[in-house]
Amino acid sequence: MDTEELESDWIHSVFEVFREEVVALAADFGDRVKGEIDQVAASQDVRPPSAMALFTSVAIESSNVAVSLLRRTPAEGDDAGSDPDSDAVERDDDPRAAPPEGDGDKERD
Amino acid sequence: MTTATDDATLVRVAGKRGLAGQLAFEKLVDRHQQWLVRLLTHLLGSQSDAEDIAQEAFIRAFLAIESCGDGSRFRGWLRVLARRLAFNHRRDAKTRARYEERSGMLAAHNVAPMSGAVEGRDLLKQVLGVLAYPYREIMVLRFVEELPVKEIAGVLEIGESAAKMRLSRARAEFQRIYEKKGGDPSGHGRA
Repeated sequence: MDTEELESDWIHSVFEVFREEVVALAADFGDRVKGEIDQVAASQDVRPPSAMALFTSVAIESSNVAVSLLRRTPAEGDDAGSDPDSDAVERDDDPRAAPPEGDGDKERD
Repeated sequence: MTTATDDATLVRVAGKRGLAGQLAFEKLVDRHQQWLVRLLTHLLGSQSDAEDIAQEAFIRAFLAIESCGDGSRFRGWLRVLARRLAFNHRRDAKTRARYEERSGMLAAHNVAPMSGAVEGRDLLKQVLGVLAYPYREIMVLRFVEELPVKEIAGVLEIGESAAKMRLSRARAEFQRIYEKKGGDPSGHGRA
């Protein structure tokens, strides 16, 4: 059935009302879809970090380096065996910084 | 620049991902949301359901945009995707309705059809609502979307001869119900 046949078809005429119809979409439909896509893009890792996110991560890294340099004392700096970055990495609340269990007992013994 | 070319460009950019890709896809959403919701509304008989399925279709299309291939065919690709989702949604809804009926609840779609004369659009909606889903689907694709049989076969993922046969049966069934409800094929309206 070609286009001409289709147009002369009575059923085609009956359906005209549907073809001409403009659906009144929900006011927030487009925004809702875009919001979902944004969430999916972020969670599915299909979107690389934005420029702002990259800038922020670079700024944080730079400030960490600056803090570690400021916290270095001359005595620590003269100690050849010390790790210059250890102060910047280790924190009191960092469980990795705690000594292995049992070390204290050995010292007491 | 044709719409097809625009779609091809947007699909290509969307496929590269990143923020630019996301923005390109959002333009595709703006461009295709109207016809997609209209198609799904006629398939499902509910605009609310149609919007939910359209949203799902857009998200799936976004995630699988690389498999769209030739971006100028985006509309056809999206249509296939949406039609599958609508089919599944309808099947799930039907299963739910059967369960509700068994539980003694009256399914909303079982409300008795309106009696008396109904005009154009309402009559058409009634006829489509009574038509078996595969017939409704092919009638909408043919007479609302105005797709050629070959393309309909592609959307329905069946052979061209099977599509022709289904369309022929759908037309006959449509005419039978249309006349039964007071429609007049010779006058394209009520008898």
